[in-house]
Amino acid sequence: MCVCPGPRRIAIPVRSSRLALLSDAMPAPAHLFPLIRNCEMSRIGSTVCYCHHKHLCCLSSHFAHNHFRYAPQKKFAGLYRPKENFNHFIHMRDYASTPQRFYLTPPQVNSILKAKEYSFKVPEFDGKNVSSVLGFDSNQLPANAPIEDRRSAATCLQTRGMLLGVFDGHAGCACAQAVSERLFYYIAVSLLPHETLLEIEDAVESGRALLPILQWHKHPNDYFSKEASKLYFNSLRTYWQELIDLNSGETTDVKEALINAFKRLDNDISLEAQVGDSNSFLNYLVLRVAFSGATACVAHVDGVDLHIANTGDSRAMLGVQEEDGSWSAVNLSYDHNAQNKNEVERVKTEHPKSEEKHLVKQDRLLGLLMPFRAFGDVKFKWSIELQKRVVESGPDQLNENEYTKFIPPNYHTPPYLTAEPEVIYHRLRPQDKFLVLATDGLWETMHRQDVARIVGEYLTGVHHQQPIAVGGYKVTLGQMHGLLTERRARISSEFEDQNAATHLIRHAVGHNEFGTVDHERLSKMLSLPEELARMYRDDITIIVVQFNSHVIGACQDEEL
Amino acid sequence: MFLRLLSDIHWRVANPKWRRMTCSRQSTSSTAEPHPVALPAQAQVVICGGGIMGTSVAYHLSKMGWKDIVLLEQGRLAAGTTRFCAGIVSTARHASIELKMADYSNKLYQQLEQETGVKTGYVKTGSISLAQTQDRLISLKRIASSLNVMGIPCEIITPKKVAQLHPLINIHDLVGAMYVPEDALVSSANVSLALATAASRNGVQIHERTSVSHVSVQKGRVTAIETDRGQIKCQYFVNCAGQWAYELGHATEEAVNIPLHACEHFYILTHPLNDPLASNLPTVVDPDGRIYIRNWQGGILSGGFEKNPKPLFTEGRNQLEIQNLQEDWDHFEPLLGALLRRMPDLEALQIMQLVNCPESFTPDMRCIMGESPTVRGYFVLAGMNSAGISYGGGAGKYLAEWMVNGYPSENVWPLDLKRFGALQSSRTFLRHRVMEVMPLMCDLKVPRWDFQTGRQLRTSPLYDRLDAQGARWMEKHGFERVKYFVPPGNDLLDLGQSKTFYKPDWFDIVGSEVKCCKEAVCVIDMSSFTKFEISSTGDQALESLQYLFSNDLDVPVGHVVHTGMLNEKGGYENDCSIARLSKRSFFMISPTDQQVHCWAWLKNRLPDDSSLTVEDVTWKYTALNLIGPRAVDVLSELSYAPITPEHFPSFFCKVSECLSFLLTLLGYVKHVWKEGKKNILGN
Repeated sequence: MCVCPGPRRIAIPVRSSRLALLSDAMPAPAHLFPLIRNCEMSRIGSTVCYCHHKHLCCLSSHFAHNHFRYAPQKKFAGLYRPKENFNHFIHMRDYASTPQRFYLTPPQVNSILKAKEYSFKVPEFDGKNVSSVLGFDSNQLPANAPIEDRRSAATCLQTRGMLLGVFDGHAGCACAQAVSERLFYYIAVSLLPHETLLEIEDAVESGRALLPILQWHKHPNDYFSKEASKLYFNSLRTYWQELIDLNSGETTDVKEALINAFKRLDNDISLEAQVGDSNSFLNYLVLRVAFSGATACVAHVDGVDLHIANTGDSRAMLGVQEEDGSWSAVNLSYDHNAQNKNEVERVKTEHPKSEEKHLVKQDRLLGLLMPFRAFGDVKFKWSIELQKRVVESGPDQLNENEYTKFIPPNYHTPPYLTAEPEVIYHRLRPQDKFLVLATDGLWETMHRQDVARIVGEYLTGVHHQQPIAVGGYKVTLGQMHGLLTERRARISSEFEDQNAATHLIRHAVGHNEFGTVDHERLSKMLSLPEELARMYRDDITIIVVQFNSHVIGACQDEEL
Repeated sequence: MFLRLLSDIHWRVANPKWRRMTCSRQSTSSTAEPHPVALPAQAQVVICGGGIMGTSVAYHLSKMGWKDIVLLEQGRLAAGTTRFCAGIVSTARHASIELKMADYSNKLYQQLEQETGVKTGYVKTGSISLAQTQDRLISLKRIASSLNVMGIPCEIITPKKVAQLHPLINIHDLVGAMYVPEDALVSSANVSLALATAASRNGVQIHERTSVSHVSVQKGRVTAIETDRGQIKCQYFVNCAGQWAYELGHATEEAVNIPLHACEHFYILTHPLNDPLASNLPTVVDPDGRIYIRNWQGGILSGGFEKNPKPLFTEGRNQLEIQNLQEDWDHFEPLLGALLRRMPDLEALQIMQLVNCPESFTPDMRCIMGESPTVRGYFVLAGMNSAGISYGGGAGKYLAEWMVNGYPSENVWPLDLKRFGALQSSRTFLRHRVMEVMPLMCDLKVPRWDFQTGRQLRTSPLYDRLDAQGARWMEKHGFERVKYFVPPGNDLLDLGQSKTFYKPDWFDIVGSEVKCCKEAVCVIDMSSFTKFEISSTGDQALESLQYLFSNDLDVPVGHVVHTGMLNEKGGYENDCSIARLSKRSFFMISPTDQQVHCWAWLKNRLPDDSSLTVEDVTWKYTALNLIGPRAVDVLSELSYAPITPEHFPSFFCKVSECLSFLLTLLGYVKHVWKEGKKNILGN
């Protein structure tokens, strides 16, 4: 188990309190155990522990026992803020002396893992499915509360293709939320032919119903903010009006469209924050969006053409099945962080030599920010004057926030940060079976080769168990039945996931040194209270897109 | 090893004629040898497939006097599914035609050894079908009563009696059982060899290791077949290729669609018990446990029909040779569990082998026989749904009669190839459907049960509207038709509840719908009905229709005649209504599932005359049946033309405004010409 606290996206200078950032950037209700809801808790309490107090205390005892071993005590004392919990904390000490083992049962683990899973199958028309995408599975496991990752998936209705993306927010989830709602519209609009844009504009002008642009595939809990929709729509409309005016008559290149959409959205986020809004709620919202940040990794799949646009340190990986049936991974994005030499080089060339030694410190941009590209984060984009002006004229909440007021040190030649994506094109081949888009929470814990193998084996249903053959052995019916029942129990625990992303999260969180899922470990990791969870893992968001090899093969044959 | 065990080495014992003819090989070695006897250049009949079906057809054809017959087998005789199958001859069948076939087969096999001298391993053991639930017992009683009607001995027995009949059965969870004492066990491969021997004695030429690659068709008739050893000219071709029948059907100029799909099927073989089981111990079928158990060489043979079947050969043949199919123990686990629950004493019995024997299944669980609707002289007998041995004799007999006499001695419409349309032959459809069909083998067969997979192949243009109104659907010939409408506020009615032998939950709903038709007015979507237009430049249409139909069609324009399509013997082929649209054109309406049959019948019997055209216009019209005493009132609201009995008498039709025309039968049927592409759903 990892001992040191998990890396935060943004390191805060010592004088500013980490807790202040946590709670102020996005006020959150302070549930102690959000993952384990009441009903399950009571079951645990009644069956596992003999404890007459609220079941929380038993649970705490175990964790406390753990973090005394693993982490400096001081930090946690500070974390248990709500008073009522303090009482339990006292109780806990009594129980800590007796070694009390507590685990979530497999059904409890499952209900936590599956809470946010979502699957979409591209409808099959009597075997004439023409989409190169069979469907996708996605899932999220929070470590922050609330989770700062977002995900989106949609089918373009006016052009061909499907869009999928994961967004990793930092300093709150506002920016990730906004990007997850808005980015695909920007991309779709950038891809639209001139006539369709005219038609849409005409419809808006005359108050007619709009052509639907995107069909979203959303988990019921993935929300869109209603309040800001008008503001967002107006910004989008301005964008397409400009596209209409700019009409170059050329066909839209996907790569260019993706880059334009990313840059335009980031620009709009920045502008909206500068202009503000008369509605105080909206005004606060646009500022929170602009002052928080988000990375984005977006895939556009159209037939055999796969484009990955990446900004930040989420990652896209292609699962390839080799001829011998084994699985290998192909990276389809480069991380934009300090580990990427080209990125460091890029940042250095964009700023004067005098700043060079301050640009990247402790593997962070200006010693603060882990990703080198991101949406929002105007602290790294605006001039000092602009930041001060906006913060001062902004609402009180903003003004009181330590983080927003703080100006990065050695801040001389902004912008230091860009949202421009790096776009990689890949032409799909029949051996390309799936695509994994995931935030860094996954890649921190698993190597891409393992990801490829685990997802590949999950999707093809290859069990590691050798098939049984009777051969020349003497086996009785009873023995065989016993053996088979046992095997089935084993398989069902490993393959109980209906969702490839859930399966991957189960491995990412629960894998032991042998690379198999260890229920005990999984149970421990999932029952961490939210204040602790972030120490051991980051938010994880995964989308697994499965390709239709038959369609891809057929497309290739046609073109040959 | 197993192959030898099951079918012994009777190859040499009988020393049949074809063996002397084809080659001098006396061993069962598998080395390819030259074929000393060349294929004939022509024959009256070529049968492809040397399994139970092919040999049975050859046997019966030769018995009926046809001598010029060639039977081709790509491998060895009886080496496919026939060799692997469990060899249970059971007459306990649901459909009466299947029951008759099984009964005939049983009687045939019984005397086959005496007739041919080939040991068939026929043992009359009887069979016990167990019921764990009352519903199952009802189902068994239904079968028992139809068996009794046929004069086949059979009785419903108590669990106690079951224990007396079979010492190993655990009877604690049983409510009753059905005992059929005449059911038998055979060695299926040897039955097939016996039939081949007898056929060969009657002059049928049998060639092994000869595979058919193509069937040549000219002017809609079979003319010749191509094999890897040369061509044979022939008048009739019989496709008995079992699970390869689908592909063989496509190896012609004009594809013959044979909708079947193979699934893996598993059974287990054990070593003998310490106290070996008697060879006349009854076969046990436990449908609630999804298994069957028979005695086999002192031990048992037990297999079943699992809930999660594994279809195979979807993409075509020979991805895997049948012999190399994997044993899948994990897949067999639920069936093994059921076996041990039924016979707990077998725990200590030693396993010999798990056999994987692919079987072919059809979309409606009934076998496929008959002549192709598109190619004359092309006959099919395949898709036995795991009951090939039970049906083999009877099915072969009916097909032989069909070929020789033009029609079989029984009504085989439920098995006729023409009950399927082209849409039911897509591989995807078949794969999905057989995955539903195979588990159904053991499920309760309640009246009015509909398949759930492979639906919405054809829908009416009104489908969405009707669906929004709460329609519950059934399928006929691939066409979705409304069974009834769930009244608003009535929280339906889940599928499982409708699956009963008692009064189903939809009964009252349908009752009130009928009442509405009787007392007020209703609209029924009848778009699924088959519609043809027959027209000619001269009087040819009238003349030929007068010949084919029983009623007088020379009626004034605008009249509708309800009539029947007759065959040469004066038998009824089809029930239909014909409207005379003009002097030279007729509009024919017949039942939904008659589309393929009716088309083939007309096509084959109308004179080959370019001035006479027949068109299938099923797609072009949406038919609405306005029914009830107040139908006239509704119509007069809709139409400017007066709709009174004087202007619009019964059995009358007229083309009214907006390209729709009306005809009266019992109610009013309104055929609406579909315009624009939005109505063309078939494309």
